[in-house]
Amino acid sequence: MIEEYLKVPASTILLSASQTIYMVAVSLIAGALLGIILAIILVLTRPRGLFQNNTFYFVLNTIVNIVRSVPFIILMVAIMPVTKFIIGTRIGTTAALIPLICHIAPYLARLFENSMLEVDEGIIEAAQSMGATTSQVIWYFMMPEARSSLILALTTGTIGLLGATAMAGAIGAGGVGNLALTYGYERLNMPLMIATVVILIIIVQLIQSFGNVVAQRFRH
Amino acid sequence: MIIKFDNVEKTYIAKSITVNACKNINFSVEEGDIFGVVGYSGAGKSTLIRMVNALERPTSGKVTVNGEVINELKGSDLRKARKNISMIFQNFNLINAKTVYENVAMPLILNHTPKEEIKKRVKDILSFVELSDKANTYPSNLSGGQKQRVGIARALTTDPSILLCDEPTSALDPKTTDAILKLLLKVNKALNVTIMIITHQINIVQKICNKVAVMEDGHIVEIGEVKEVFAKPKQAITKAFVSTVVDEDIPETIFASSAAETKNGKILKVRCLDGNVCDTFVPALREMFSANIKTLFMSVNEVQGSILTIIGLHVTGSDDQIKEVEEYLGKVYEYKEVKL
Repeated sequence: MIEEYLKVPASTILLSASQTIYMVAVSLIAGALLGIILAIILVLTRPRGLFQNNTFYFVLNTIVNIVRSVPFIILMVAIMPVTKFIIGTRIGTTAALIPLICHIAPYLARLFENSMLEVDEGIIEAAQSMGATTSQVIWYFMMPEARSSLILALTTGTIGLLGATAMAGAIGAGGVGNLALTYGYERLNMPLMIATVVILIIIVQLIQSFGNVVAQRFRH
Repeated sequence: MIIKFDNVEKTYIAKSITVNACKNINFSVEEGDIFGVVGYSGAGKSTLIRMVNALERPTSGKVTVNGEVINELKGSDLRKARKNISMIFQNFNLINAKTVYENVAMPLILNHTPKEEIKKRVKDILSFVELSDKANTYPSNLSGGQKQRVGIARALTTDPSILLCDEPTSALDPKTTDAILKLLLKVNKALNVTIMIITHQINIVQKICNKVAVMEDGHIVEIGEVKEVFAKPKQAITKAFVSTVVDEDIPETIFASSAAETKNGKILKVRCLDGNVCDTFVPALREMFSANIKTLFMSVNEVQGSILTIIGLHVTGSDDQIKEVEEYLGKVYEYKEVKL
């Protein structure tokens, strides 16, 4: 019945959904790991940071800014040689992971950095006065204090990533966004377009609510 | 001595303007002291106390703590030294995402102490600060006084020899302040911890410190035993601080009417740190001298177990008679003439 109404085979819809989930999940995990590492480095090397290094901070900060300013669709095309080198092909769902990670990691790094900078300097000072090592300061003081905020940042990042996957259709990655574009928009299939958009809206709402609930649980 | 400052200077360079936070600091804190540093904001007290655990390092000079020049230590040596110098803060600086138990256990967790040992130590220390029932509470559910108790407990877990207190009661109401001061006194006496407190509240110094340094503009302008400094404050700033807790102003109406009463008389203000002299001081003077001596004002204050009495006298008579009294007071007490 759904197939008749939307005028696409159920298998196409399922495939698109699984492609989106795959792209979001993998690039989120990789991007978050990379993002938190970059954020920690930024926080440590920034002026007045625990390992202040002006040159290093300037270079990394600039790279993060540059990557963030490139529109995703351009980024995808621009780093194709890198994608080819790592994945072995320039197109397809897996090939889209590389630009997605490159896109989301600096974005998350910036959000995570802000979360960590919100931690009261007094708490860092207390940690130092106890004789904590730098890694202990990060692990036992900064991270727990920033936890709620980090989770909200991750939520924002996930939603941004979901938006970016829609554009990945341009390099043949498929996904729900591509479904809406090719089958819905280009074939003038209004019901399909509306259905996919509504589903995306619902998914975004769910992600945001989930993030809020988890962040609230960690707020004491 | 447990803490010693030798020719310590600290300057900051902010946007090409050099700020002298501490200038020519020389003093020492003895074991068992409760040493107060008092001054207005911006006087350099924060910088001073942070040089004791090397959160700040002097531009020149040296700070010796427990026999080690702390400003020359780095890395693991510094971390090891810091475990013996604890610190509590005006804003408590507790980890809000962790329970009271976890906060207090933190210094031991950092030391990789075995879990069982941590459990026992935290239990003991929480009962010492009277917070045993709050172990599983989060800081946001505690009052300010309770938060500072957690701060103190956390500071004591590693059995430090020094406790640095950065404005420990400035965020608390007067009643809670008294309770925290009592606890600090208990820490000093029962656990033999040397305490250094910086504050802008001179009443804290009056209540628990045995020694005090007054800071102004990066300098220590006055330093000594609390009772001596309270009895004979020398600098204007010290006098201003002391006068906020020791009432020494002769009420104006009384002053004015006495001054108008007779031309040949002087109003003298005497400070004595002599035990209780309320009953005996003026009668004794009257017996000794023929001048007419009237009491205008008297304030009796407790400072570190001594009684500081400030007496306003109206002495009338001939010039010689008045001079006699002044000579005697000058020899035995601290006094000054007060004029309108």
